[in-house]
Amino acid sequence: MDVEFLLRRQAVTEWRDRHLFHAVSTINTAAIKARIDFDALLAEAALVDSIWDPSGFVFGRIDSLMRKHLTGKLDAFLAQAAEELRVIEARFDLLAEALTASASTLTFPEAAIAPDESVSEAAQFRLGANYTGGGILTNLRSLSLAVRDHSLARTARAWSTRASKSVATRAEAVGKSLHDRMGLYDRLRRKAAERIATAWMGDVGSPIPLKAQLLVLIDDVASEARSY
Amino acid sequence: MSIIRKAGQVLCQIPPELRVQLANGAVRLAGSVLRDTKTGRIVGFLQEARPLAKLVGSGAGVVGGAAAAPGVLLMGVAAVGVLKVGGLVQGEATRRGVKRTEAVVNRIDGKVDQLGEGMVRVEDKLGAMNGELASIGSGIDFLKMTGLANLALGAAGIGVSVVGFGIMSAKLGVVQRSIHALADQLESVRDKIDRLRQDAIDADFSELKSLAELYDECWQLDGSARAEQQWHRIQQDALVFQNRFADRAQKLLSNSTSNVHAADTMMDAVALASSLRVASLVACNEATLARSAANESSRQVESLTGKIGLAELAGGATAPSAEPGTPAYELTLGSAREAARPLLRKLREREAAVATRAAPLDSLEKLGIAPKAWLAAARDEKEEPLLFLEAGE
Repeated sequence: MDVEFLLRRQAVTEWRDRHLFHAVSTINTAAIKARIDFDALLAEAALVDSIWDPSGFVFGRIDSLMRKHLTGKLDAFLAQAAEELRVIEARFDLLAEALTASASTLTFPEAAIAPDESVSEAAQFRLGANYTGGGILTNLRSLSLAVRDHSLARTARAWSTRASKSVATRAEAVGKSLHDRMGLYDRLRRKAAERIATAWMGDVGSPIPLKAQLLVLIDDVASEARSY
Repeated sequence: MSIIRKAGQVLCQIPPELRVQLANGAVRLAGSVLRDTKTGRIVGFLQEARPLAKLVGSGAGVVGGAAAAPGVLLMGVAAVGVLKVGGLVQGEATRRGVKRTEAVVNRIDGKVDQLGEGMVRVEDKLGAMNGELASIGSGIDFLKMTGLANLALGAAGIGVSVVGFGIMSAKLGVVQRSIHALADQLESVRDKIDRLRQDAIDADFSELKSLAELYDECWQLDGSARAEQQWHRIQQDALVFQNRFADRAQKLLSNSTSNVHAADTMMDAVALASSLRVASLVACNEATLARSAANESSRQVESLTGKIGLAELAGGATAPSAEPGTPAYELTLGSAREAARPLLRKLREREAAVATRAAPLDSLEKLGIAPKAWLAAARDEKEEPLLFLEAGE
């Protein structure tokens, strides 16, 4: 085998490896940032969201944060990968162009964020439907009535124009403390991690997770380049 | 002037300027081919020579004696172990030099009034660096320093690696022991026992060793038609073993790369058998057949390991066990990737070594040197473990 041919094939494999790892790393970095940002949104979670509909609260928000942190990153990543492919061999230009153009074909997981009110109404409905009376559920229900959907906090916020600001702060603190005590924030965090692990960084699934889409794309381009 | 003398003059020790270029990365080795890093131009070729035995044995007398083989084996392993750091030394020496220069430059920064003095110091340091590179030793010291010793002692070798039965036997022994060690791990998995069948593998290794010994003995019959007849037979028989080991590697790699370490040892055996074939054909002055054998072996090796990259070797490294979206995930990813690099390097080096076995033949032809004379010169060399052949125009 011609040594130039062999070295070119080796260079393509090296290119593939580097960009496979870079792709995973890029998404993971976005995920780390998204999880940090998500923590700041936990205060928005109503008790009913945490208990009955964590997915409804988490998915839309984490997807939105992931998109935010990946905006421009994947375009730049693919453009760089294409450029490096051209450096290996000028004949790879068409492949490089196809790779750059592929940025627009990547499908991002996109769960909708339900409007606040409808989420809360639906959640309340589910809370009622699932209410069986007694025990912890009774307590939860009564507690949730008191601080449902942070209504206490929200109402307090509304009052804050008329009343003391400390009322709002106190009400919000009650809600947060309740969430914390019951480990509900952790539940939402776990749900966010789960969403990232499956929809964004999974290896299989339908729709295909973003990481899997990128890996297949790079691998396919490398296979094509090796066959030149 | 005899043709062998002519070859002896053309094949020389690696020139000092080339040593510096190899040490600083301006020239890189791909298999046995030396290429200019920037332009890709082929500068020349390296070929193992008999003094390489000094790296695997304790003295010049070791090579060529079957009885000495066990000693070669033991010392060979130790030598390889010690020399594993060699590859790092080259980069480290350069890095140290650059760091020192950087430190000097940093001291200059912001001290315009001391500029003149600083410039002198930089020049002094650069001068020292050049001196350091220029003083790179010759022979074995150089090989150790640049990591070339590891390449030469590996199963793939540099150039036509059969310069003595002792070396070939030592290499075969190392590969065979690796297979034994891996077989111990594999026996727990039922379906893999059939794939390996240790006894059959051992028998094949014995046959290969016998062929290598026979190849060596044929040099004593130099010039006789009988020697060429034997070399032809050796290359034909070696092909059978090469294909057997390649089949084993293919089976091990058929479903996944989880058996890649076992397959790697099989590929070492493929490389050794292929080397013996090319050497036998070169010894018969069959340049066209030697090229053909090298090309066919190269395609075989590349088709088996060419597609294997870090992603495969790291065992699903792109899906680490750590939780996604965490720094731990990033660390796991990086660790798996780095852990896989040595084996990846070995795969790539073997592919290049096998592909370039017959690469010098074109240049030799242009120089009017018979392939056998080239090999004989390497076998007769007394000092240099690696010989250099400049690429023809």
